[in-house]
Amino acid sequence: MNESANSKRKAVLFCTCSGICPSMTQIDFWALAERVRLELGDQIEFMALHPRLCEEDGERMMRQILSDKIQFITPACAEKKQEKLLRDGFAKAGVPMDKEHWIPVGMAKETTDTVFNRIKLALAGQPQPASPPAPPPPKPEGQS
Amino acid sequence: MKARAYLGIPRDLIPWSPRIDSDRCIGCGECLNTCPNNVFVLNEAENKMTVANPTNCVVLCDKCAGFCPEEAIEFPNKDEFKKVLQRLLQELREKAGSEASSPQPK
Repeated sequence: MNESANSKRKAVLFCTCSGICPSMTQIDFWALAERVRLELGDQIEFMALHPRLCEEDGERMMRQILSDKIQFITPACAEKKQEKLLRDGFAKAGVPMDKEHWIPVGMAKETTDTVFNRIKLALAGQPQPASPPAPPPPKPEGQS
Repeated sequence: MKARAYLGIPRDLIPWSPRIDSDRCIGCGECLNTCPNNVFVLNEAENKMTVANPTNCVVLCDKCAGFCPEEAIEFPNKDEFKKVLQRLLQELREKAGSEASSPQPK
Protein backbone atom coordinates (compact mmCIF):
# COMPACT_ATOMS: atom_id res chain seq x y z
CA MET A 1 0.00 0.00 0.00
CA ASN A 2 1.36 3.41 -0.87
CA GLU A 3 2.15 6.17 1.58
CA SER A 4 -0.77 8.30 0.46
CA ALA A 5 -3.24 5.57 1.36
CA ASN A 6 -1.64 4.92 4.73
CA SER A 7 -1.67 8.59 5.67
CA LYS A 8 -5.32 9.08 4.84
CA ARG A 9 -7.82 9.32 7.64
CA LYS A 10 -9.91 6.19 7.92
CA ALA A 11 -13.56 5.42 8.48
CA VAL A 12 -15.36 2.13 8.98
CA LEU A 13 -18.57 1.52 7.09
CA PHE A 14 -20.32 -1.71 8.05
CA CYS A 15 -22.93 -3.38 5.88
CA THR A 16 -24.88 -6.00 7.83
CA CYS A 17 -26.84 -7.39 4.87
CA SER A 18 -30.23 -7.01 6.63
CA GLY A 19 -28.89 -8.55 9.83
CA ILE A 20 -30.09 -12.04 8.94
CA CYS A 21 -27.79 -12.92 6.07
CA PRO A 22 -27.04 -16.65 6.37
CA SER A 23 -23.36 -16.00 5.74
CA MET A 24 -23.10 -13.68 8.78
CA THR A 25 -24.88 -15.62 11.47
CA GLN A 26 -21.74 -15.90 13.61
CA ILE A 27 -21.35 -12.15 13.96
CA ASP A 28 -22.75 -10.00 16.74
CA PHE A 29 -22.78 -6.69 14.89
CA TRP A 30 -23.50 -4.53 17.92
CA ALA A 31 -20.73 -6.13 19.97
CA LEU A 32 -18.39 -5.77 17.02
CA ALA A 33 -19.19 -2.10 16.50
CA GLU A 34 -18.82 -1.36 20.21
CA ARG A 35 -15.48 -3.18 20.37
CA VAL A 36 -14.21 -1.26 17.35
CA ARG A 37 -15.29 1.95 19.04
CA LEU A 38 -13.64 1.07 22.35
CA GLU A 39 -10.40 -0.44 21.12
CA LEU A 40 -9.83 1.21 17.76
CA GLY A 41 -11.89 4.35 18.01
CA ASP A 42 -8.91 6.68 18.24
CA GLN A 43 -7.72 5.46 14.84
CA ILE A 44 -10.89 6.17 12.94
CA GLU A 45 -12.59 9.34 11.87
CA PHE A 46 -16.04 7.81 12.24
CA MET A 47 -17.92 4.60 11.75
CA ALA A 48 -21.38 3.82 10.47
CA LEU A 49 -23.49 0.74 10.15
CA HIS A 50 -26.11 0.26 7.47
CA PRO A 51 -28.28 -2.79 6.83
CA ARG A 52 -27.89 -2.66 3.03
CA LEU A 53 -25.27 -0.47 1.47
CA CYS A 54 -25.91 -2.08 -1.90
CA GLU A 55 -29.51 -0.85 -2.05
CA GLU A 56 -30.55 2.59 -3.19
CA ASP A 57 -30.85 4.01 0.32
CA GLY A 58 -27.41 2.66 1.21
CA GLU A 59 -25.98 4.25 -1.90
CA ARG A 60 -27.60 7.56 -0.95
CA MET A 61 -25.81 7.35 2.39
CA MET A 62 -22.54 6.55 0.65
CA ARG A 63 -23.02 9.58 -1.58
CA GLN A 64 -23.35 11.71 1.56
CA ILE A 65 -20.38 10.40 3.51
CA LEU A 66 -17.77 9.04 1.10
CA SER A 67 -14.94 11.47 0.57
CA ASP A 68 -11.78 11.64 -1.45
CA LYS A 69 -9.95 12.58 1.75
CA ILE A 70 -10.89 9.43 3.67
CA GLN A 71 -10.01 5.78 3.19
CA PHE A 72 -13.06 3.60 3.80
CA ILE A 73 -12.87 0.20 5.43
CA THR A 74 -16.01 -1.74 4.54
CA PRO A 75 -16.74 -4.82 6.63
CA ALA A 76 -19.44 -6.47 4.51
CA CYS A 77 -19.87 -9.56 2.34
CA ALA A 78 -16.91 -11.31 0.69
CA GLU A 79 -14.39 -8.92 -0.85
CA LYS A 80 -15.05 -10.04 -4.43
CA LYS A 81 -18.76 -9.55 -3.95
CA GLN A 82 -18.23 -6.09 -2.49
CA GLU A 83 -16.47 -5.11 -5.70
CA LYS A 84 -19.76 -5.64 -7.50
CA LEU A 85 -22.26 -4.64 -4.86
CA LEU A 86 -20.64 -1.42 -3.63
CA ARG A 87 -19.49 -0.25 -7.03
CA ASP A 88 -22.53 1.94 -7.65
CA GLY A 89 -22.28 3.55 -4.21
CA PHE A 90 -18.69 4.61 -4.81
CA ALA A 91 -19.55 5.77 -8.30
CA LYS A 92 -22.46 7.89 -7.09
CA ALA A 93 -20.19 9.45 -4.47
CA GLY A 94 -17.58 10.21 -7.12
CA VAL A 95 -14.92 8.39 -5.11
CA PRO A 96 -12.64 5.90 -6.88
CA MET A 97 -12.93 2.34 -5.64
CA ASP A 98 -9.17 1.91 -5.41
CA LYS A 99 -6.70 1.02 -2.65
CA GLU A 100 -6.26 4.64 -1.74
CA HIS A 101 -9.92 5.01 -0.86
CA TRP A 102 -11.19 1.54 -0.07
CA ILE A 103 -10.23 -1.51 1.98
CA PRO A 104 -12.82 -4.29 1.81
CA VAL A 105 -13.09 -6.58 4.83
CA GLY A 106 -14.97 -9.80 4.22
CA MET A 107 -17.37 -10.85 6.96
CA ALA A 108 -18.96 -13.80 5.14
CA LYS A 109 -18.67 -17.01 7.18
CA GLU A 110 -16.51 -15.23 9.77
CA THR A 111 -16.88 -14.68 13.51
CA THR A 112 -17.04 -11.45 15.48
CA ASP A 113 -13.44 -11.88 16.67
CA THR A 114 -12.08 -12.64 13.22
CA VAL A 115 -13.75 -9.60 11.70
CA PHE A 116 -12.49 -7.39 14.51
CA ASN A 117 -8.94 -8.56 13.85
CA ARG A 118 -9.37 -7.91 10.13
CA ILE A 119 -10.54 -4.37 10.79
CA LYS A 120 -7.53 -3.89 13.07
CA LEU A 121 -5.21 -5.08 10.29
CA ALA A 122 -6.90 -2.78 7.81
CA LEU A 123 -6.46 0.20 10.11
CA ALA A 124 -2.79 -0.68 10.49
CA GLY A 125 -2.40 -0.80 6.72
CA GLN A 126 -1.61 -4.50 6.86
CA PRO A 127 -2.81 -6.90 4.16
CA GLN A 128 -5.87 -8.99 4.87
CA PRO A 129 -5.31 -12.72 5.38
CA ALA A 130 -6.44 -14.84 2.49
CA SER A 131 -9.91 -16.20 2.92
CA PRO A 132 -10.14 -19.99 3.01
CA PRO A 133 -11.45 -21.47 -0.23
CA ALA A 134 -15.21 -21.59 -0.32
CA PRO A 135 -16.67 -25.06 0.10
CA PRO A 136 -18.30 -26.43 -3.03
CA PRO A 137 -21.95 -25.48 -3.22
CA PRO A 138 -24.48 -28.23 -2.58
CA LYS A 139 -25.71 -30.11 -5.60
CA PRO A 140 -29.37 -29.81 -6.45
CA GLU A 141 -31.49 -32.85 -5.87
CA GLY A 142 -31.08 -35.50 -8.51
CA GLN A 143 -27.35 -34.91 -9.02
CA SER A 144 -24.75 -37.12 -7.46
CA MET B 1 -29.79 -23.52 15.85
CA LYS B 2 -32.27 -20.67 16.31
CA ALA B 3 -34.57 -20.26 13.32
CA ARG B 4 -33.84 -17.18 11.27
CA ALA B 5 -36.41 -14.44 11.26
CA TYR B 6 -36.81 -11.19 9.36
CA LEU B 7 -38.43 -8.42 11.43
CA GLY B 8 -39.64 -11.20 13.70
CA ILE B 9 -41.27 -13.16 10.87
CA PRO B 10 -39.85 -16.67 10.50
CA ARG B 11 -37.89 -16.69 7.26
CA ASP B 12 -39.55 -19.82 5.96
CA LEU B 13 -42.93 -18.02 6.00
CA ILE B 14 -41.66 -15.27 3.70
CA PRO B 15 -42.06 -16.12 0.02
CA TRP B 16 -39.15 -14.03 -1.25
CA SER B 17 -36.71 -15.82 -3.55
CA PRO B 18 -35.55 -15.69 -7.15
CA ARG B 19 -37.05 -17.57 -10.06
CA ILE B 20 -34.89 -18.56 -12.98
CA ASP B 21 -36.15 -18.60 -16.53
CA SER B 22 -34.38 -21.75 -17.67
CA ASP B 23 -34.96 -20.90 -21.31
CA ARG B 24 -32.85 -17.80 -20.85
CA CYS B 25 -30.26 -19.07 -18.34
CA ILE B 26 -26.90 -19.88 -19.93
CA GLY B 27 -25.31 -21.25 -16.74
CA CYS B 28 -22.64 -18.55 -16.64
CA GLY B 29 -22.60 -18.41 -12.82
CA GLU B 30 -22.76 -14.62 -12.48
CA CYS B 31 -25.58 -15.03 -9.94
CA LEU B 32 -23.47 -17.50 -8.00
CA ASN B 33 -20.63 -14.98 -7.93
CA THR B 34 -22.91 -12.21 -6.70
CA CYS B 35 -24.82 -14.01 -3.97
CA PRO B 36 -22.84 -15.10 -0.90
CA ASN B 37 -25.53 -17.43 0.42
CA ASN B 38 -25.57 -20.54 -1.74
CA VAL B 39 -29.03 -19.70 -3.02
CA PHE B 40 -28.00 -20.89 -6.48
CA VAL B 41 -26.29 -24.02 -7.67
CA LEU B 42 -25.31 -25.07 -11.14
CA ASN B 43 -27.12 -28.04 -12.57
CA GLU B 44 -24.12 -29.36 -14.42
CA ALA B 45 -26.07 -31.86 -16.47
CA GLU B 46 -28.16 -29.13 -18.06
CA ASN B 47 -25.73 -26.22 -17.60
CA LYS B 48 -28.48 -24.19 -15.96
CA MET B 49 -28.58 -22.46 -12.62
CA THR B 50 -31.17 -23.67 -10.15
CA VAL B 51 -32.49 -22.17 -6.93
CA ALA B 52 -31.40 -24.73 -4.37
CA ASN B 53 -31.84 -22.79 -1.13
CA PRO B 54 -34.59 -20.21 -1.58
CA THR B 55 -34.85 -19.28 2.09
CA ASN B 56 -31.15 -18.36 2.11
CA CYS B 57 -32.07 -15.43 -0.10
CA VAL B 58 -31.94 -12.18 1.86
CA VAL B 59 -35.45 -10.75 2.00
CA LEU B 60 -35.89 -7.92 -0.54
CA CYS B 61 -32.42 -8.45 -2.00
CA ASP B 62 -32.48 -8.81 -5.78
CA LYS B 63 -28.94 -7.77 -6.63
CA CYS B 64 -28.15 -11.00 -8.48
CA ALA B 65 -30.81 -10.19 -11.08
CA GLY B 66 -28.99 -7.02 -12.06
CA PHE B 67 -25.82 -8.95 -12.83
CA CYS B 68 -27.48 -11.65 -14.93
CA PRO B 69 -26.43 -11.00 -18.54
CA GLU B 70 -29.50 -12.77 -19.88
CA GLU B 71 -32.07 -11.18 -17.55
CA ALA B 72 -33.08 -14.69 -16.56
CA ILE B 73 -33.69 -13.99 -12.87
CA GLU B 74 -36.98 -12.66 -11.60
CA PHE B 75 -38.16 -11.59 -8.17
CA PRO B 76 -41.53 -10.56 -6.82
CA ASN B 77 -42.30 -6.88 -7.26
CA LYS B 78 -40.66 -5.10 -4.33
CA ASP B 79 -43.43 -2.60 -3.66
CA GLU B 80 -46.05 -5.31 -3.73
CA PHE B 81 -43.90 -7.50 -1.54
CA LYS B 82 -43.55 -4.79 1.09
CA LYS B 83 -47.33 -4.99 1.44
CA VAL B 84 -47.05 -8.75 1.93
CA LEU B 85 -44.51 -8.14 4.68
CA GLN B 86 -46.77 -5.59 6.34
CA ARG B 87 -49.59 -8.15 6.32
CA LEU B 88 -47.34 -10.83 7.81
CA LEU B 89 -46.17 -8.39 10.46
CA GLN B 90 -49.75 -7.47 11.28
CA GLU B 91 -50.66 -11.14 11.65
CA LEU B 92 -47.67 -11.66 13.88
CA ARG B 93 -48.65 -8.72 16.11
CA GLU B 94 -52.26 -9.88 16.31
CA LYS B 95 -51.12 -13.36 17.26
CA ALA B 96 -48.80 -11.97 19.91
CA GLY B 97 -51.60 -9.72 21.19
CA SER B 98 -54.12 -12.53 21.47
CA GLU B 99 -51.61 -14.76 23.23
CA ALA B 100 -50.78 -11.98 25.69
CA SER B 101 -54.46 -11.29 26.48
CA SER B 102 -55.58 -14.92 26.76
CA PRO B 103 -55.76 -16.26 30.34
CA GLN B 104 -52.70 -18.16 31.44
CA PRO B 105 -53.22 -21.76 32.60
CA LYS B 106 -52.83 -22.13 36.34
